Amino acid sequence: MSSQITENEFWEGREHLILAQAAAESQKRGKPGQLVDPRPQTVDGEIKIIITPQLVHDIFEEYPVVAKAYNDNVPNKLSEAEFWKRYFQSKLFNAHRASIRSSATQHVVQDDPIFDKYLEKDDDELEPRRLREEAVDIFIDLNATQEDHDETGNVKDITMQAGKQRAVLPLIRKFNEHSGRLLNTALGERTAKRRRVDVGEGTDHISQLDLDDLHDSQTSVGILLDMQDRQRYFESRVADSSGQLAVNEVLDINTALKEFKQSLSGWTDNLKKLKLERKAGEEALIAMTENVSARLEVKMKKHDMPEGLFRQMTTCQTAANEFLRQFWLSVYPPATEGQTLAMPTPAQRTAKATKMAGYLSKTPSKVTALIETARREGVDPSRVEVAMQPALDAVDRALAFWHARGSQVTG
Amino acid sequence: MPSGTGKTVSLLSLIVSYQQFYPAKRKLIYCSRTVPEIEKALEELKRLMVYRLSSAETEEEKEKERSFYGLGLTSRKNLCIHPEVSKEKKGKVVDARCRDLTNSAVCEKGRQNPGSVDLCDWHENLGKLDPGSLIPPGIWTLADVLQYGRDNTICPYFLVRRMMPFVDIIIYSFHYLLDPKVAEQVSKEMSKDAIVVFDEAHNIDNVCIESLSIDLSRPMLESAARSVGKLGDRIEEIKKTDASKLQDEYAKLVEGLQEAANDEDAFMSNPVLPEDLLKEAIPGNIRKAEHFVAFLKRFVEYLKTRMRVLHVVAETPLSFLQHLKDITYIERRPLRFCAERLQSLVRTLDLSRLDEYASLQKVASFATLVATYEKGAIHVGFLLILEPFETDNATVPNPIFHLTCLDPAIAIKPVFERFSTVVITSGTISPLDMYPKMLQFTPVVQETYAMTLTRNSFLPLVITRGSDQVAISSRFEVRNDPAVVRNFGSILIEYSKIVPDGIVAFFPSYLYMESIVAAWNDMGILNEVWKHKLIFVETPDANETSIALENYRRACDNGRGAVLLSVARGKVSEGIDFDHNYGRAVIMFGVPYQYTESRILKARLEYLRDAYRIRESEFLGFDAMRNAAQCVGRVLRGKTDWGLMVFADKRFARADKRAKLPRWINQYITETASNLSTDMALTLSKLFMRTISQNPNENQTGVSLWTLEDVEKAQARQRELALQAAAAVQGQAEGMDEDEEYGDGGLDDAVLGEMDLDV
Repeated sequence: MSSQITENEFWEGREHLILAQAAAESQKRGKPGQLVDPRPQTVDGEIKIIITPQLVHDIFEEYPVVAKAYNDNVPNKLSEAEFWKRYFQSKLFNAHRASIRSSATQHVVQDDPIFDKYLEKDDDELEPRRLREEAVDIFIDLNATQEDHDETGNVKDITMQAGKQRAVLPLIRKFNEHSGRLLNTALGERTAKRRRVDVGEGTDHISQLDLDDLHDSQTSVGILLDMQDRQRYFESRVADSSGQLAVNEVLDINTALKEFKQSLSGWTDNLKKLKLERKAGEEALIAMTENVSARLEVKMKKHDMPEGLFRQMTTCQTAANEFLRQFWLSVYPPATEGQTLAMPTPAQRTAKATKMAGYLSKTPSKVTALIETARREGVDPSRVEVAMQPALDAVDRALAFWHARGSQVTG
Repeated sequence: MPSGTGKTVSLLSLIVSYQQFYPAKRKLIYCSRTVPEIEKALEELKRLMVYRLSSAETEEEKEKERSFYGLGLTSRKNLCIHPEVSKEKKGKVVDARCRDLTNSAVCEKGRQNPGSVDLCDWHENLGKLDPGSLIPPGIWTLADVLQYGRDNTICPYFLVRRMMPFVDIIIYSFHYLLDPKVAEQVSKEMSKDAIVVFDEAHNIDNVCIESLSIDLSRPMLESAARSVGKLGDRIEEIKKTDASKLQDEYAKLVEGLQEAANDEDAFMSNPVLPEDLLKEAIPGNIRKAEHFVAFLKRFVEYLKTRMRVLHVVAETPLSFLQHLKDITYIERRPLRFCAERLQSLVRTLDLSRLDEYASLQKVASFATLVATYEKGAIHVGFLLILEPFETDNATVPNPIFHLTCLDPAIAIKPVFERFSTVVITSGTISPLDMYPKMLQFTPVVQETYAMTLTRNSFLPLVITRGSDQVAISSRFEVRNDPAVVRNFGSILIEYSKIVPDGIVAFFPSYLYMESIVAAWNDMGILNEVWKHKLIFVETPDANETSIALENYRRACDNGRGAVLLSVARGKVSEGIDFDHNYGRAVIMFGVPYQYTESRILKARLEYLRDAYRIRESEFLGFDAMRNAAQCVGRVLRGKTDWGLMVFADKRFARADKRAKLPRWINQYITETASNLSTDMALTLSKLFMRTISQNPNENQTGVSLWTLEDVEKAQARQRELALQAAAAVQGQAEGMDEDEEYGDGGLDDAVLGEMDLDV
């Protein structure tokens, strides 16, 4: 079979599989959302933080300042092990820990001349230390509301003053930044500095206000049924209905009702008179019994085909299937969407179809050969025949179609 | 009604049709709460006008629609496009720098010899245009105006301000009408026949109160004292260089002339309501500039000494004034003119960088307010509270002098008196009868509208206990109990597992949110949440929070999903929609009660009880539930949207609490769903999501979407009913039962109070 179909031909019509595979491969697993927060574990009674290369990578990514410290100091001033040991004891690590309890553990933290250089002030003012200049969409711009008018009124009560617990602010900011960073790794940076007013953004705003339930439901056009010999159907229909219409117009409800009643009268008797022909009934029953017994037989029978023959049969079947597939693909009108490879020209398609028809016409002889082999090996040839029959039928159908078409084209 | 049921656009289309039909051309003043909401209303209006134009029949009508003006107004900070000034972060600084570049004195100087002073080109260009046609007619959103200003190099802020007399619709925030300090500058010229609409008015009482309350702190007084010193120096300087100026001012004040200066120059205006604006002349003892400065100095010193007291003082304005008089001999009358006199002086002295005088301005407003509202009819609507310590157990004094307005009716009264038609509306006004009581008005029409849904597009659930059957509550005594905190946490974890896209969680206060976020983090609860969703948290800084919000939305769009932790009554809870994938579930952790230990709240409660017979518990419950409804109501927008509403507190199970929720939410809380444990709620939620996520292909027509025939049918039925009712009334003279129909407005969700006062 490999000699008969080229690789390209095989994959033609299976592009979606390739695309799906490519998509699956190109999709990277997203970063897990959790904060990098190495917590000490107790191993054999000792408290340790286990450093894995992954953890190191995460720490560097989350806290670029640690990466900087690492580059500055390892291996010149500190060994790698020393570096991490001192880092986890430093104030810097405590500042990085996602916990407000870190301030309580301040006393176990030692001063460290190397790491303390990298320490930044806690970001716990009401305004963030790093001011961000990005303009936000006016529909979610809280600052615009705040600046809309002078603040008036009494101060908010103590529970409603934001940022009263200053120790929490760095933590909250860390959450927001971390989430933003995760998003940026997935989506790329936000489109560089959007001004509040962009041309064309107005439509965006309108779409945000739009309510889809107020739109008329749109019905799709659907696919038109392409009927052959349409004329005939419609003519008879039209004639029919017009005739009926004429009758209907004359008909008066009362008479119709009367007629209807009459036709219904004595329906019980009619039902009694109903008799089934005996022969037909018996035939049906026999057919059903045979069907059941045949199924039973198949179920009872063991799979006793010789290995070699069975494989040959499967190959033959698969090959026939593949040829059929290629044949129909080149015969049918091409699918219009989803095709990425270059579309074969009609000439190419006919050539291919001819080739496939050639292959297909050989299938019956192959099957005969199989039956022959079966006889030689002492297997009931009729079983092989039965097994291959559907494939043969399909091939016959295809060939019949091909010949019909060929004669149409030539004739 | 949740957002997206078309409240805004219905109101607008009705009023615009009215305006266009009658030749009187009444102006519409449309007030909303937040800038995003103002922008949304403008966008809706723009679409409405496009539609009206397309369906106008004659060329004449088309012309009429085309010449319709609609503009939105916000602060200089939001509308400035001057390259340097607009970079300033604080609105006050922008205001001051803008004034320095645009006030009439500077402009005059600059025009006489160009280059001598800095002027704002954008403002200058505007002045060259013909007033009344600064911008082509049409509806201009804030963004549009900014863009127009940029394209044509004209100032958007002054463009809107100067166009205000010519527009048909002006949309701005509540404060521009309710806060007398702003209203005096901005809304003075509005004619009396204007139609006023307060949209999203469920918090209108708070805006009223805020606009008449002032706080003074010690640093403020220090700054005010410095400003007084600077004023003195400046007066000395002017005396040497240009003494006639001060003379002129004095002469004017003697005559009692209201200075006919340009309004746009106004640095501050009188914090007192128009009705109280006196036509009298400024009293003699503060007419002279140096006398006034000495007067201010004395007053600031007096306030500073008051701040030294280390115990809480609460007193009425009357007793404050009495004490002031005893110590400093300052009378009430000059005090009352403090704000006006200061403005006049500032103008005379040609001061720049007025933001540095902000504290002094506050002191002057304080003085004027205290002296004006010294006595009420029976109940005094104001109270002075001096709190030396921030909290009860604080040891370092940080004194704050609160002048607090207790009566929302004071601020809104002039609006009712001045404008003949006032409409108050919101999706979550409930209970209805509370508002006329608090704001002291009699509604002419009061109507609530139900909501029809073809399917239950949201599921309210009340979780009263965790899976371990421990009752959950944000009640003060138990809110920090580890079991409660853990159970709250497990609700968040479980919902982050099952709900797609966005989840919004609201806490009753910032303090509680901050402490619970820390606790959850240490308990490892947030680590579980991180596995399923990103976490964003509201921060004290508005800009920072906006960026977090934007990232939150990106995460929802992207499918990563996110949780937003925020605060009821906070910045996010007002005006931001969490529709569709931006909020598939809202979790309300606890009942958002106000902090009842607050002295200001206590005073207000007392006042409400004495003056309006509103019980404390009634008001607190009402206030908590309107905020809860406001939070959960953000989840829906439109009828194809869906969302879960989780109320996690055992107090929500009580019928009297739930009864205060708007009816559109309350009617969907089933008996079973009103008392659930976490696991039961999850089962219900999963079931709900499976059914609701299916294609909503059922036809809404006839149920929640009416064709013309449906409307006609309903009208016919209404007429029939009216006829029957009329017949019934004729038949039996009493006909008292009818009132019953309107009587149970207590649970209703929207009010349309239309005031028709003869003015």
